[in-house]
Amino acid sequence: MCEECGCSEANRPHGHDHPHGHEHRQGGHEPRDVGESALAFNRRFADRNRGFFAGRGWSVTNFLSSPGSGKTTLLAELMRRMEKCAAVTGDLATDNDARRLRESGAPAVQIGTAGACHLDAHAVAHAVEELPAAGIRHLFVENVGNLVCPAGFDLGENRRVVLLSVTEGEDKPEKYPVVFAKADAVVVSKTDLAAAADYDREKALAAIRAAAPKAEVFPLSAKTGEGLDAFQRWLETAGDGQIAKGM
Amino acid sequence: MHEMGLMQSLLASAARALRGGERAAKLTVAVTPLAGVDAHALSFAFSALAADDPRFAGAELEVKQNPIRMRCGPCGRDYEATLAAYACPACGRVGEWAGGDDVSLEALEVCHV
Ligand SMILES: Nc1nc2c(ncn2[C@@H]2O[C@H](COP(=O)(O)OP(=O)(O)O)[C@@H](O)[C@H]2O)c(=O)[nH]1
Ligand SMILES: [Mg+2]
Ligand SMILES: [Zn+2]
Repeated sequence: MCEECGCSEANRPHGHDHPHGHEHRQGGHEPRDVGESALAFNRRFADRNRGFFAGRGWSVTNFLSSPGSGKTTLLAELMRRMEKCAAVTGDLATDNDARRLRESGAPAVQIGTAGACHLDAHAVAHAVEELPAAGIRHLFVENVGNLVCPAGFDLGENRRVVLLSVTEGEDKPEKYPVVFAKADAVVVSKTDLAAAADYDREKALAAIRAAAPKAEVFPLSAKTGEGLDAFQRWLETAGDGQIAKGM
Repeated sequence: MHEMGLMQSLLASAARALRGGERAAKLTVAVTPLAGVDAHALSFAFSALAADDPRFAGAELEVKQNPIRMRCGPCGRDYEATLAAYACPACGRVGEWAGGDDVSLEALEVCHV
């Protein structure tokens, strides 16, 4: 305790004088009502996005994973197979992914995050302004490759999907549990490489179930097409996920 | 990784709660494991940002770790989960999220000079 005024920081210099006596309660410190969220700004835009998406009749899915797990490859393949798709993709630099996605014939907008480690709802709000107003049913958002930061940023999506490739190690969900917690689906990608990577399916599934308690699991290969039908059906039919319900 | 940005928002909230000329003595920031926020990085961001601002210089930061709260539908039980175990301790089912994944300014003590 600071002997001057009762602040609980013992040895740190205060940086301000305390010209008050010591007869007061609580060391002269008055509690003030607060309770504000540091994420309030993002949440306002996320709620706005949700309204915008609903107004246009879009079903919006946010895809998260480490860099290189196969998000762009999977989305390009889905956009070739499915009708009325569009994508927004975030990377620190380049518009390579948006160009790859556009090769599917569907519209795609690049968000350059200029170093930021995640997409936020405000950036997505501006990116979707560049998409055509009509003719879209499914919007795929490819988040910045990062298993940590994007987890905390609601984009106004209906569903959240986390990818985990068979080459990343079966214990990824144990190491990065936060991003898996609210996943509505977990895609185990690159199953064509499972044998080469000594992928242990049971071990991976156990780790996914523990970290992503409400997720459906879809093993698939965007390269061979194995498992894509089931995931596509889920995208076309599933309702609102945990994020959209505010849980 | 974005603790610096979060701390900027928290300090902006605190600044709004301060009236002219007042200084903060202590900020209590509440996080849950679901927020994915590192308490050390948050403290570091606070030291860096508060030092230059006379309203916060010398103030204390407490980072409070709140539990993950869940509610089990079938048995109506409120329970605390961890990042490794979400199941209801009574029936083994996974309940619904009952608490946020927020990072918030829970309390502010104003130095009354
Ligand atoms: N063998 C195989 N390689 C894949 C598959 N999906 C993606 N890749 C490769 O993995 C690398 C990273 O893929 P990319 O889609 O850019 O990942 P992103 O960073 O998550 O968008 C590229 O070399 C892809 O060709 C797959 O299903 N099987
Ligand atoms: Mg990509
Ligand atoms: Zn129960």
